[in-house]
Formats: sequence, C-alpha cells, structure tokens
Amino acid sequence: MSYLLKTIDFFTSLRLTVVTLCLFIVLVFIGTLAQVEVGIWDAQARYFRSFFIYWTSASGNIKIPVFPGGYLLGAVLLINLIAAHIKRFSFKKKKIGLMAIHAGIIMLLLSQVATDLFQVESNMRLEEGQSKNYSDNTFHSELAVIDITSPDFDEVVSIPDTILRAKGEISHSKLPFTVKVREYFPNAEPKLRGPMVSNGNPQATRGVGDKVEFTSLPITSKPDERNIPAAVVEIVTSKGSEGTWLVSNWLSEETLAPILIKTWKDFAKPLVEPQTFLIGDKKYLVALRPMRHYKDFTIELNDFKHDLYKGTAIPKNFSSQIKIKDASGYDREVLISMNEPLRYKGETYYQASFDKLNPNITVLQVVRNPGWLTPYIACGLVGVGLATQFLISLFSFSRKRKTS
Amino acid sequence: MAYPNISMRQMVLLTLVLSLGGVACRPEREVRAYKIPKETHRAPVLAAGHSTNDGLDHGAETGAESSAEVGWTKPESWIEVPKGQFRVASFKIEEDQKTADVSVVPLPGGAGSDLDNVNRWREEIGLEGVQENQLTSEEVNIGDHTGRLFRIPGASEASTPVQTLAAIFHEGEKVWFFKLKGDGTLVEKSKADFIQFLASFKFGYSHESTPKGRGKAGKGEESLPWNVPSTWQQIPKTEFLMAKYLVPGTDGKRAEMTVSSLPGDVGGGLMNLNRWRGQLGLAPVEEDQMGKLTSVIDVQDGRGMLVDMVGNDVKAGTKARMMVVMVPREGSTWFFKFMGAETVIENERAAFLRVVQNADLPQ
Repeated sequence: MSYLLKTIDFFTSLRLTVVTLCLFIVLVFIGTLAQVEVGIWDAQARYFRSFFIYWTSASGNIKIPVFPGGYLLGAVLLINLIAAHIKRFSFKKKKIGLMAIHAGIIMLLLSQVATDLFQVESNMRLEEGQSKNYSDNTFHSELAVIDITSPDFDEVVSIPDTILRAKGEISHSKLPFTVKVREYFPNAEPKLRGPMVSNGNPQATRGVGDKVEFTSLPITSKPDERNIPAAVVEIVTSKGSEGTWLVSNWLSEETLAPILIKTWKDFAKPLVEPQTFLIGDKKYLVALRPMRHYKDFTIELNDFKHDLYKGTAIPKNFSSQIKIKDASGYDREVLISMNEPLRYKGETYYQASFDKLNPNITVLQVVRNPGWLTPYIACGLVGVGLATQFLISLFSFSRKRKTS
Repeated sequence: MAYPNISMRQMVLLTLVLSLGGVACRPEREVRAYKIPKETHRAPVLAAGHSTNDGLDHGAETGAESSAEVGWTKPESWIEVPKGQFRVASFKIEEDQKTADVSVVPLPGGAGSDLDNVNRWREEIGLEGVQENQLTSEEVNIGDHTGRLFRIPGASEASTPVQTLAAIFHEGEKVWFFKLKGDGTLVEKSKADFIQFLASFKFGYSHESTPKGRGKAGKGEESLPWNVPSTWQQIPKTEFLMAKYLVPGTDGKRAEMTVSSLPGDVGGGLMNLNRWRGQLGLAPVEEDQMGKLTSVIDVQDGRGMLVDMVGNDVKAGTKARMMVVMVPREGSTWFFKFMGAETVIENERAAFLRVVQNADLPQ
C-alpha cells in the first residue's frame, strides 16, 4: 500500500508539474530547431506526436530513447493535473476560480489528444465550373479497387498506404479476389519504358507495366517537397494470378499526370488512362491515388478570384465563390476567402492555395476536427477562472480593508 | 485520507480505450468499402477539366512526334505500314518471302546510353552484350545531322539469321532511333536504301498532305515574343525548350540558339554559370569570380546576366563558344542560350543580342 501511496504522491506533486513544464519548454525548443533539418511534419511526428525521442544509429538498427516525447509529457501532465485535482478536491466557493482554470487546462490537453486522434486534413482542388463530392487526404494515399460494373454506382474498396507499406495480402468481403502487394515505394519517380528503352523485365505484366517503371527515392520530409508513392500489386483469384499492375499517384493525380504529359507528350497519354480488368462478369479499376474522403453533398466552384494590390504582385485577396448542393435540394452559395472559412457538416473549408499554372483553379483545405470547439471553451474556462479568482481575492481584500 | 484509486485507474483505462479506439477508427489505418454515385473514370488530365488550350503540350493524337513534323523520301520498294504507338514512321520490306521492318522512334529522354540500346538489340537477336570498348559504329547522315550507325549481325548458327541496322541521333535530351531489322540477307541488301532514307529524313517538315492533331498552327514562330533573323531556322525542340533555332555558318559550321523559361530562380546565377561551364569542360568558379565572368545586359523592362565563354563542348567533343543571357522575371527565369562554332557565334553575336534585347518577355 505504501508503494501505491508513494506513486499517488508522485503523480499529484507540484514538483512533477514544474519538471514536466520545464521538459515541455526544452521539447518545444529542440522540436522547433529540428524543423530546419527535417521539416515541420517530420519534426511534429518525431518530437511531439511520440512518446520518446530516439537516437538512431547510422545503420538504423539501434534506437535508444533519449528524451520524453510530446505524448508522454502531455500524458504525465494530464494525469498530474487530474490526480492533483482529485486528491485535493474540496468544493469551496473561494476556490471556484482555481478549479475552472484547472478544468480549462485539462480540457486543452484533452482537446489536443482529440485533435491528434480524430483530425483529418484534406484538400479539394476545383476548377471554375467543376464540382466535387470528395476531398483528397493531404498525407495518405490509397489503393482504390473499384467495381465499375454498375451503370449507376461504383463500389470502392480502399486500401490505405499504411497497409500497403507492409506488402502483405489483402482480402475483403467485397472483393472476389486477393490483392497481393508485391512492391511498395513510399516515394518514387517514373521512368519511361518503350520498345527502344526496355531493359530487363517490366515491373508489372498488365496495364501500363510495359510502358513505364518506377524507381524508389528516399523519403523526403522537406516542406516544399512531397512523397509520391508507387506500388506493384497482383490480383489473385481462386483460379490463380490475373497478373500484376503498376500503380502510382503519378498516373492518377490531376496535378501530377499533366507533368508526365508535358514531359513525355503522347507517350504519357496511355499511362494516365484508367487501368481496368475483368473478373468474371465484373469490371474493376485499380489506382493508387490520394485517399479520398467522400461527402454527402457536392461543392461547385463558381468563381475564383486572385486579387493583387494594384501595380504589384503582392496578393491582396484570394476568394472562392462556391455552391453547396445535396440530394435533398439544399443549394447555397458561399464565399470562402482567406480569413473567412466555411464550416459545414463538421468540416472547415479554408482558402488555402490556387494553381500557379491555371488561375481558374482553387485549392481549399478541408479540416475535419470534431474537437475544434474545445480549445475555445478551454480558453474561456481559464479566462473566466482567472477573472473569478481575481475578483474573489479583490472582494476579500476589500472586505478586510473595510472591517479593519 | 481516502485516495480515489479506482477512479484514477478507470480514468487511465478510459483514456487508453478512447485513444486506441480513435487510432483504430482512422481511415488511414483500415480497409474501407463504400458505394458512391457513378463517376466518370477518365485520364486525370481530362478529368481536371483541362482543355486543349490549357497551356500543356498534349501533342498529336498518335505517335510521340507527329508525323506532321518529320519528313522523308522512302525507297520505292518499302511499304508504309501503320505506325503504332511509339513510331513516327514504319515500313515493311518484302522480297522472296524474306521480310524486314523499318521503324523511326523518337524518345523524349531517359532512353539509356547507346551501349544499353545496342546490347538490348543484340539480346533481341540472340547475341550476348558487349562492353563499351567493343562497341563499333560508323557515322551516318540523318537529315542535316550526324548520327551513329550500328550493325548487329545475328548469330551465324541460326537457320534464318536476323540482322539489325540501327542509327541513333541525340537531339538534346531527345533520342531518335532508326532501325532496320529482319532477314540478314535482306537487311544487308537494303543497307544502301536505309542510309539514303536516313539522309532524306527531315525534322520540322510536314510529310503528310493534311496535317492533323498537333501541327504548327497556334504554335508557330509568330506567337513567340521575339524575332530572329530570317536565316535562322526553327527546328524541333525538346520538351523543356520554348524554341530552338539552327544558325548556319560558312563551311558547314553552325550554332544553335535555344530559349527556355523555368519557374523560380532555377538555382541562381552562380549555379547556372557553373552548369554552363561544365558543359564546356570548364572548372566551376566561386561567387567572387562572377563579376569577371558575367556582365549586365539591358533587356525590355529589366536587365539580364550575360555570359560569354569558350571551351570544349563536352557532348560533341569539339571547340565551342557559348553565350547565354539569363533574364529573371516575376516567378520565372528566362534563358537565351547561343552555342556552337566560334566563328558562327562571332558573326551572329550582334543578331543574338538584338533578339534578346527586343524580346517582349512577360513580367
């Protein structure tokens, strides 16, 4: 029992709070510096979205934890705050402000956990006149195996890159075959194959396998670069292999395919055509593409404005005039501009960017964060708590002064 | 004091369950299946709503290089056959039940070295690969250019030996392949015709009576914001160039002028200067030497950096002079590069500078 008491004393001590906050300061400092070397996303993953920061040997085989990561410090601080609160809990009017402050900080920490766990960032690229009912995930790709047999609907089985990376066999009740991931390159570049260039066996036997091949590139974490994945997948039915297909975001993304067309001209045209195959009487399409998040409504871009300050190239305003429509007949026009996002059905649409080559294309950032309100509530609680505590002290002081 | 042990344990457990649940439910960690309204599955370029006026060079309907841009004179006995996807010209030769195939294929880049290609052709007819020092070729005229002709006789023990005659011509990044392959005796007999065909080959010429797909319309010289002397001939360009000109001189000497525009500062002045120096076999220099090696030139609405150097063209192995003007513009950099025989560059120097200085480049 004494061990348990010591543990509880440890977790409820103010010393732990101070040490944790100091470690947080150090973590923020080194994590910020690390962004110079590894970029913002990698630094966030290594320093803040981790339990430990590891030292890794040059070979990559040895990993030694050298400093607590953001998750560990956050969890310790959260436990510390909750435990201290519970241990010292005694409802007194004069401490109501302090309780509100603590509740606010706990809520802030929990909201960060919720954001990390549930927030999904994607983007929607729209050309004037175009409408979409999905957004593309900013960080993750998917192998989409789509049954396109029906004239009325498509049935999609989406296999995320986190599963493709393991290069295993994937079965699903909606698929009458198994998908075997033969190769997966998290970052790859295409190289043209052709009747005059081909050396060695093609990477895939079906689809574009005889026309293009992909070579693996080191994973990049630079903020101005991105990883473009490629994979070789085999379709295996109960009768045996149907062949292998080469898939890549290079071939399916509307921002990358034009680069191939521009570079390779007509050679690239067959590469970017959808790759389909038949299994029995069903027709399937296979593609590696940014992971899609479908909505039950469509967004149409009516007008995109990119205003500059007169006589300069300095941006003054970006705005997208969009129309939201859904099956129930809902039809609403909205203007999304740099500081005025649209919040709709749990998602926030920010004016994020535009296509440098085509001034009619807007890029909206779509953020789904179920806990987006909690930081505001938490900060409100802390503010109210501080004000209350200040006023209680002020009144108490004033009363004492009067009585004296 | 009563410590709320169970409550704390429950709290920690709840947090863990919520965390694991949250992680497990994330779409990037699970295979999902869903039904969506029917979509149109098209190539992403078209799906994105790009029209043919989207600024991208979509090219002709078939072939890497439209046959509207090449020309030739073929021997009478050769039969023109459908070109297929990669060829710009395709012929069949038939004689006494022997056949041979002639193809012309341009590739935009990444086509491998000459040795790679020769070894692949050798493999096609059952021969082992050779080393670089075993590679033999003869010079051959391909239109106005000079290429390498490789003769690859098939294995002598084969009952019907197949032979390949292949010519390669490097046009910047682009590589042109001309191949005659078929029955050994027929190929040997057709060699003279093949060489004549190569000599007759014309780049930037309309062979077909009715140009279709990508033609010169809308992409001609008149749409470019500069004017070149009438003696300069516009010739087919590679994908990263906006225009390419052949500048003829005396005694068969010549130079080429290319214009390109790339986004950003393209590495800046020093990096580009050293890149060009590398192309002339010159050693890289440091920042402090830039002042001596470059000068400032006035262009329309701004200034550019002029470089004028002499060295050995690393690709051609001949002495060459290079003049480059690099013009920075908002968000992009323009390059006017004039390179070739020293005498031609000297004679056309003033004309080149006029072209650059009068070019109406977009801001």
